[in-house]
Amino acid sequence: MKKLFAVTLGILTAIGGFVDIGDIVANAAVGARYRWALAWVVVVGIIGIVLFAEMAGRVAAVSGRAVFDLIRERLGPRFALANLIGSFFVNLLTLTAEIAGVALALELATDVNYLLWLPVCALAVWLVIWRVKFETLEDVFGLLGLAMMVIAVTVWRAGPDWGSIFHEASHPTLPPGEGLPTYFYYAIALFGAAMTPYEVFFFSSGAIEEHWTRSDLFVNRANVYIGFPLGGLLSLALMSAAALFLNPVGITVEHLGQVALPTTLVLGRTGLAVLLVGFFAATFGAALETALSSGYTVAQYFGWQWGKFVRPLQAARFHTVVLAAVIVGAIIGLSSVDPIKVTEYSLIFSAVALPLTYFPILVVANDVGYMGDKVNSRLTNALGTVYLVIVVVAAAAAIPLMFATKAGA
Amino acid sequence: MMAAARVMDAALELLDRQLIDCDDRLAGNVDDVEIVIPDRWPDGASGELPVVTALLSGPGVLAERFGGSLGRGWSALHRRLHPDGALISIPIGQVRDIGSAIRLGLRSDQLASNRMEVWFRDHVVGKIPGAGHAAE
Amino acid sequence: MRLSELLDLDVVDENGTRAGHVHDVRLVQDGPVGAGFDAALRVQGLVIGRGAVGIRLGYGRTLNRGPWLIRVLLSARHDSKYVPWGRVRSIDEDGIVIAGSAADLEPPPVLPARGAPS
Repeated sequence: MKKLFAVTLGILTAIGGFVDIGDIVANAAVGARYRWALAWVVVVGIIGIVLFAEMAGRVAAVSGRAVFDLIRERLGPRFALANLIGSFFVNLLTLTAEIAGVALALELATDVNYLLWLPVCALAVWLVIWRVKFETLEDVFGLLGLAMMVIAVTVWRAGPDWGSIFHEASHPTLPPGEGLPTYFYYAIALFGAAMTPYEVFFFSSGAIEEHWTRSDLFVNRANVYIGFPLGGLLSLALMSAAALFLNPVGITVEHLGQVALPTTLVLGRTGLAVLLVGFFAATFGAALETALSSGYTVAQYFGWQWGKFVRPLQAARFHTVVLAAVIVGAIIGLSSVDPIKVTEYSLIFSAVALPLTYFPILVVANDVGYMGDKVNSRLTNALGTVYLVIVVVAAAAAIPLMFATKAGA
Repeated sequence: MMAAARVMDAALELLDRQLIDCDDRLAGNVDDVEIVIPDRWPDGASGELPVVTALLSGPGVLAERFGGSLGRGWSALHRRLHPDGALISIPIGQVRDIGSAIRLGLRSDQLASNRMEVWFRDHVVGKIPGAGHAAE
Repeated sequence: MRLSELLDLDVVDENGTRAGHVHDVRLVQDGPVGAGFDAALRVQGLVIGRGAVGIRLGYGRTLNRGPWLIRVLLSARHDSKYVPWGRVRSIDEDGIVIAGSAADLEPPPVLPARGAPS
């Protein structure tokens, strides 16, 4: 049983990180607009996040140091502070989007406006962080998030022509009337949805919450190799469902209800109910991750005591930051900004911030002083270098493309 | 136990590293390092090397490292909050191990950098029910 | 004085030729470990160089096998040199003066790998 649950950190990180409100929206929107022409980005994203999370988890297990701790050691306090401010901002945007996502899932289930649910959701997120043990939180939301699998069942039951899907995915062509800049803008949003910095802040800090050591490196690999590809599979399922059902009738995804349409059509009310549980668990899990990550990053920069492995009184500044982030996130959410727009911007800014997190980890994962004989293999370094280039190009292109395409309009 | 001479680069291996106290609590970062140069240097002190006497930790120390207008503003704010200076100096004799983190032989509540933590404990987190219990 | 005051100081030789600036301060610890470090950590010399990017990453100084691309991009620019403490003549806010000519400075010895701490 212990072994079964040992991979729930990966599943929670993946369901709540890979498949969060950002992925749900981005994959469905892209599927509805481009069918499978951007499926390759999901594959690039899965490989990237597997590579990145495996390094970060290994560094945490071997050296006992989480990601932001190392960012300051390797980049120095000035650059790391700029990085902290940027990462915290992106994290707060994502937290806002996730809390709104939980509220939107509840709106779909109850017909009560999401703005009424939002404060309740924010309070619930904070209470879970305050009172629930890290391991319990992982197990509950990791396993509940598996309800998202119903989206894969939807695609399966729809009985699509797999050969032609594979052909469309492997020979991407622009839909008529679509420009290349907008195509690449969505490519970066999808990439940002897959490789989000907060996933890695959370995963590496979680490894320390769980007291991983060298002997847990196999747990690290199991988590990464099972959790993230599962998240990637769900992303592709979301994209496929939208491509199969929304694209032909010309629906563009503007709210969560449209993402649920295919499942309702194929599996009826029961399918919808299961999907809503999945939406709820995935967004709630991601809200927990982003709220905790805001505390992890600040505390690790300053060296404060952090984590749920000590009583809240023993990590007072950490818990203060988490509480403040949840409150500010809720206030932004209540200010009637469009939660789907917040989500889209958070993805783009994630892509911009990514190299600042990725690069130091790639360096430390090679440092014998931290890693001993557990430094990167040649294969990891070769892939790591290719991704360094991808990550930098995506970050550099993100903002110009955002302006050039008026955020994908 | 005599260890073989170990050579290390101070900025690379000491600066910005995590401090861990004798109870395994995280106790701030190394924000600077105090180095004392022999009195009569450079004349009459040949062969005598400068000595690392202390690790420095705390927001005030970090602010001074920043320099520029950000550093000055931060320093001024820190002096206003802590008029007594609140320099946190950890004698090198209290260092037990230098690795991916630096382990100390004292408890974090003996460090002045802990004062903010105490303030937030007493005024924010401690006021919320359940703060003293482990999560379930 | 503080370590941060030494870092980045300009270094010139006796003839006034610029030799670079301080990248790091090399320490030697030859005292006992465990019972306290009293006076055991001493300054052996200065690591100086020209570039500024990526100094903190440790390329060229520690055994960081690194990805090849990063190693080539970063360590080639540093051109690190080692100044034994005995050659330091004066230190003030404007910089450091060293004895002799900058031309005969050697690269710093690569730090030994110690393996991961427990």
